[in-house]
Amino acid sequence: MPDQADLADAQRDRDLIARAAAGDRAAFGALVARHRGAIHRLATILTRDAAAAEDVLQDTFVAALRGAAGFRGDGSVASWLFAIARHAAHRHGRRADQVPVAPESLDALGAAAGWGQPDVETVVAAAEERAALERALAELPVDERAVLVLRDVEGLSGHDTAAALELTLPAMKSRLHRARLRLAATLRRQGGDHVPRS
Amino acid sequence: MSLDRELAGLTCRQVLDRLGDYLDGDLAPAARAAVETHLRGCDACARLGGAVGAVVGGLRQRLGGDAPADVAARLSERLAREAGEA
Ligand SMILES: [Zn+2]
Repeated sequence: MPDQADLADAQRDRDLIARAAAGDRAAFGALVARHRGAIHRLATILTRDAAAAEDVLQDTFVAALRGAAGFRGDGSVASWLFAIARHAAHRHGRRADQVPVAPESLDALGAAAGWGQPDVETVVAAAEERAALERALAELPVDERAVLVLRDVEGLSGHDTAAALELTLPAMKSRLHRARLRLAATLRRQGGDHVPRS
Repeated sequence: MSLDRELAGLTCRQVLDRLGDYLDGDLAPAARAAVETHLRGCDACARLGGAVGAVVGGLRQRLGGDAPADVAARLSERLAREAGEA
């Protein structure tokens, strides 16, 4: 459910890309400044390599610069940029990430996340810590990392997230739910690995 | 404890299945009310829902922000080169 600020942001992006397509370099620069943090974050999380992430970031905006006139406007500018970045990251992808994850039942994921367990509160505390979140995200399968970054970190709508990942909305939602449970399970396990701070 | 326990017309497994849509506000009003009634009476589901909700909130609030300054500067240089060549 987009709020007014999100809608205003989306409209501003559309204005900027229209001007960029007409050759306005300042408009393109403004677009870069608005989205480079998010694209860099997605690239870092997808590649898990600082140099590769920077390549992906640069390649994404070079492609956007050349393709601004081709922006169709059926999704947001943000989801268009994320889709470009995801393809660029795919070319840098590590082989280990191509191995499919064994499907796990929702029951098993829920139990791992702490359903019915007394230590489920450790997840709540860990979710407040940036370092803990980053460490846990790095352990997730790449497809699950991507959906969490787009939908939860960057706040794309469900529709735009699905479009950026080339998934149907139900498929995206299913992956998102599993990814959130797996992240909670990872935070819970990592919480057990560390001495809790008081 | 079992996910087969039923409360407010929903088993814990059904609540677990709907938790994502519930957190994203994507449930119809009647379905949302049923989940909320279940959560009020079921500690295991309520605590898991709180944990997953905290994860979603943490991702949004803790991991945002701009790219590092050196990364942003090198991006600007590359784009200036590309624009110059076009
Ligand atoms: Zn329950």
